[in-house]
Amino acid sequence: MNPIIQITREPLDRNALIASVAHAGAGGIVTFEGVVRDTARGKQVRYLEYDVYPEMAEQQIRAIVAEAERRWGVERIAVAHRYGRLEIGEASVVIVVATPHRAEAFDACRYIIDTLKATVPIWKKEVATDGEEWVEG
Amino acid sequence: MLARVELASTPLVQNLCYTFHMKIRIRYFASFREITGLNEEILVVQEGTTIAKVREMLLDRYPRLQPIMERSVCAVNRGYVAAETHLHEDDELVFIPPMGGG
Repeated sequence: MNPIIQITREPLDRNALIASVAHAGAGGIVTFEGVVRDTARGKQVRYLEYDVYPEMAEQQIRAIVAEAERRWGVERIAVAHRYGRLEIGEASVVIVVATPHRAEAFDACRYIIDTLKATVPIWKKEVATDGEEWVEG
Repeated sequence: MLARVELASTPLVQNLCYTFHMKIRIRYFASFREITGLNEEILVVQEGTTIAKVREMLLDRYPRLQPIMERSVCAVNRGYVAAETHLHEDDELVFIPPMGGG
């Protein structure tokens, strides 16, 4: 099955993404959701601004998903990343992995989020009460 | 692209020489976009130029890029490459500062 990959300004729809990978053979579905929090490095965060190089980000995510499929034999994966302005509590990323057994789903999901953070051209600006800066990680 | 360069000090019959140039597209994201004030620009450079040369040109033009350029990697046509990479006509070059996805 082709993976579902979304890079969008719109709020992420977790339930629709889960539904898109669920199937009769899936005994485990693991979802990772990254959410904007209100503090970072001791600062009071007002909101985050994400920027993305969309064509390359999609290509990189596709490569990460292909590697996860190869390593864990996963066939059903959805990855969605949001950009633009995100408020506290909103989801910036949702990753859903469905597999026959849970272990592969946990491992593949962990691999996808860790590799995405390190290699996909997406950037985050923290706008805090005392200023703003582009932050790593 | 063929560019004509005129040499002022030589007689008319000799004052044409031809050097090959090419155009490349640079797209700016995140801190690069904020510092340059641009989403993208087209640069005309000598054929076969390396990314390292283009980086020098950009640092001349936008000195404020220096600190972030030192921490950035580069991509050509949507794939990561080394700074020694030679560029070709219509390549899309992007400098990628430290990422913060997720």
